[in-house]
Amino acid sequence: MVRVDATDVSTALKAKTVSCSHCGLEAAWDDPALLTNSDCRSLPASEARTKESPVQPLVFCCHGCMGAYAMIHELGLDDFYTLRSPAEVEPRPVRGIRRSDVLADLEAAGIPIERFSDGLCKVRLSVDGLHCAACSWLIESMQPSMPGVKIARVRWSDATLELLYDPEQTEPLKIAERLAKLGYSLGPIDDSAEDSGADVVLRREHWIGMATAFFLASNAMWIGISLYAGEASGMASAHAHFLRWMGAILGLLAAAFPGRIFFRSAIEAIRAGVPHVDIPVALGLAVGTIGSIVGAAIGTGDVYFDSLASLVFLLRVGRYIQFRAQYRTGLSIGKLLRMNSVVAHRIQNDGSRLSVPSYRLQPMDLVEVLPGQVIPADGQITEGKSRIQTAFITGESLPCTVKIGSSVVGGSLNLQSPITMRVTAAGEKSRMGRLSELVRAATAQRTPLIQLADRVGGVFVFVVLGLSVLTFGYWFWQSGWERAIQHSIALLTIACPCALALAAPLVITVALGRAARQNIWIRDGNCLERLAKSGIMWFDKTGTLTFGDLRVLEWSGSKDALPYVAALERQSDHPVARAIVAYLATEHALTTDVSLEVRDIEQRYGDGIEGLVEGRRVRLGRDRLVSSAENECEAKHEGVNGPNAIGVWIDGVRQGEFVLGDRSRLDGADTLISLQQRGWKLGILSGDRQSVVNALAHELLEQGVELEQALGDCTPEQKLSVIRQSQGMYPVTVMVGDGINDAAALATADVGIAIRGNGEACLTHAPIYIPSNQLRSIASLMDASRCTVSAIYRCFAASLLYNAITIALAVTGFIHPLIAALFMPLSGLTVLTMAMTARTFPRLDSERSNHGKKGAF
Amino acid sequence: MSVLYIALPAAILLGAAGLMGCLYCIRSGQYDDLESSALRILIEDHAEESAPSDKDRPTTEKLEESG
Repeated sequence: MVRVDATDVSTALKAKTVSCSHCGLEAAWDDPALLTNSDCRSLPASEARTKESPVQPLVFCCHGCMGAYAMIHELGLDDFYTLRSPAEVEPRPVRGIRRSDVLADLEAAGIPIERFSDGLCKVRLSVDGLHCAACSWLIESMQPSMPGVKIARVRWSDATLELLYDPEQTEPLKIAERLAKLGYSLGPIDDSAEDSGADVVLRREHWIGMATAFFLASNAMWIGISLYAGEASGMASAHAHFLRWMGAILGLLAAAFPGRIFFRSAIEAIRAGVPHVDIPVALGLAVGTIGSIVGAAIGTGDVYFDSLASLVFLLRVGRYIQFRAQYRTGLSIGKLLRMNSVVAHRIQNDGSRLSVPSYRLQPMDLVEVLPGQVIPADGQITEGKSRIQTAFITGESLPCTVKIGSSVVGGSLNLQSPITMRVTAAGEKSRMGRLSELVRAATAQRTPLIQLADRVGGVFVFVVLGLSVLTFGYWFWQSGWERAIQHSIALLTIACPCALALAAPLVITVALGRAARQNIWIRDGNCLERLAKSGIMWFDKTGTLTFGDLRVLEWSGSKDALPYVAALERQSDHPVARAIVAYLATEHALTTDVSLEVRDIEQRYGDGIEGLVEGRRVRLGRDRLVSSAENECEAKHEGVNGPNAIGVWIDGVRQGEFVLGDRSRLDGADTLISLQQRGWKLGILSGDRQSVVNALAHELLEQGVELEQALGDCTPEQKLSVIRQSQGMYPVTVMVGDGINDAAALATADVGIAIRGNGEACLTHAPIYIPSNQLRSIASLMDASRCTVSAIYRCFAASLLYNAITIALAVTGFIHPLIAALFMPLSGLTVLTMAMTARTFPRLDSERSNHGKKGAF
Repeated sequence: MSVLYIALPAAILLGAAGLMGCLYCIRSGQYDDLESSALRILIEDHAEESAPSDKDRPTTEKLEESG
């Protein structure tokens, strides 16, 4: 009845998580309490676990959703689920083990435990699945029902749970299992300790500064009021003098304690010779301080200390708001760039298994990886044989076979059988880790736009300083030093080049992070700026525009030979062999259970396979002569690239041949068309034969893709010279190819996009790596680049506009310093918001929920 | 009006004492999480029934001090 669910659940048979039938959020498949049949009756536990049950069950993320679903169902409103837009749920990496498993041994997992003298232990764990404050209430209410748990406290702001428990009565794993029933999963706080500690300390410092500044400002203000009142009612001058000095002291304290962060960073900036926002602010404060001392000493005219103290307070508040916004931004960027950690089964010295987070693994550790699990680190197999899917890291779409001695890469998926491996590199040192490290390094890079912003920001500081001197001079000449001080302080406070300096790096960092989430790895932020223009884009053919998957097109020869071929070929893992086995199974119903004895297999690289099948010598291999069948086929199967003939010999007698070919990638053409519409010129640079390239170009033309040039028979050197030539002719030259054969061309092009091959090697040659093997990603990359650059310009414009208006108002004396201080964080916040919400790469669901969770402050 | 010389510093010192208290609260982490505390008072206290109250109290302090 609800189609969405059925498909969701069937895909879930492979992945362990599915989307909730009601809200679409992630739901645990293996939690029987949250499974029902379509009539909302809960399933018996046995049925819930068998995945081949006749009726597709419904899965929920929490009891609330289950209740809501039941209610909608009872009211007969099931159409709701077909009418609403299908929930956008991205596939998540399969995790064979739950992350709470590492809680079995806290020390191995590196979770700090505090032990008290009376035997109690305290740990802080992160909680996943907190949706609203009611969740924390629910978790805390569980505490009395869990024996041995003394205190359970949820800290909502950073989604952590603090547990005080008696290790003799319970252990964190038990608590985690209990909470898992409610849909909350516990785990170690984070892969790295970058958030939590330092942030809390900084935040407290900000609060202390604000509290102190508020105290000083409010008292100074009372004194100011009594002075004004005293002036009106004729106060003894001795008293007025006393009040003035008290106020001056408060103002000085405000500048000296809560205000000293501005002086400190200004001094640091001057020492380093960099213009900084805090230089004008510190100057403003210094002018105010001097004014306030002079005012107190002279004992005439208006008083300044109350303004000074309030200014410090408002500046601190502004600084705090900025800090929060930047911290949250940093947090979500950190999340974007951090690689998912998985749980590893480490084999202890005594042979037992222990679950530890993958980043805690050390080289030489032995790890067991069960089928369906992600390989936690780089290593070498010491036991077992299996097939692994390495698409995530190498882009290779076909699973490959590994056996004892084979190297495996962390992040790949073990498909078949259990293996034991010895870790060679884990965590940041693994290839996955280094890949994310390259992207992270790119976010720190100064791209031309960022450099421009820096330069403008630098000039800006001096312009503001100059203007403030002029303002001071003008108003001093016009109406005395009091107004002069006031207006120049207002100017120094309100002018804020920080937004200018902040915008570009932030937008680029966010874009890089989101791209990495979409499996587009970008090592160089410059690319985004370059791709925003358009020029020429060269494509390699094989593996880029055409499928790597070989297919058998036909078999010419006698059928009697086929069982022998099937028996021999299923022993091999070569793509050709796999294509032949698949062909025989579908076309000739020769499944792999043909019971022929196969011995003495010899696989010769590039030259086929040979073996004894039932005593007869069978050989498959490429014909030395270009066969006539190959040419025939080229004519017959239009659109098929590179027909290859594989001959079959039995006991030296030729039996016939298979003709194999690969097809044009299906999404290739529409991607090329959409690129063309965006103003890109397209070309093919291939090492394949010119005739094949021509055929492909012809086919593309039929689909509406016009190629500038389609060059075949290119050596890597020729590719390089074509790229060099086009660099002179077009504003941007992009090369799209695989990281191995086209390395030189990728590196020379203005932007190289590697779409296949070993991720980390690709990223050294090409600044962009797309392992997903999807040309479609390139189109979204282009869009994202344009959005990124225009977002940067928008931020620049907003910041310049703000500054132009406010400076004009301040110079002409329309803005009081206190109002200036109120306005100061405004421009920074606007730019932060604009940068974070810029439409670059589409945001993913997970990121959205993370961001939402951290939203409260 | 000479009382001003005593009253004003005294008032400021009193205020400063309050400020110190506030700073102490910030330092000890009482402001780190404002959302949960607001809800926590709504939780009915079942702890007394399951655990002896004398054991409960020192542990609460422990959590607060170190948090």
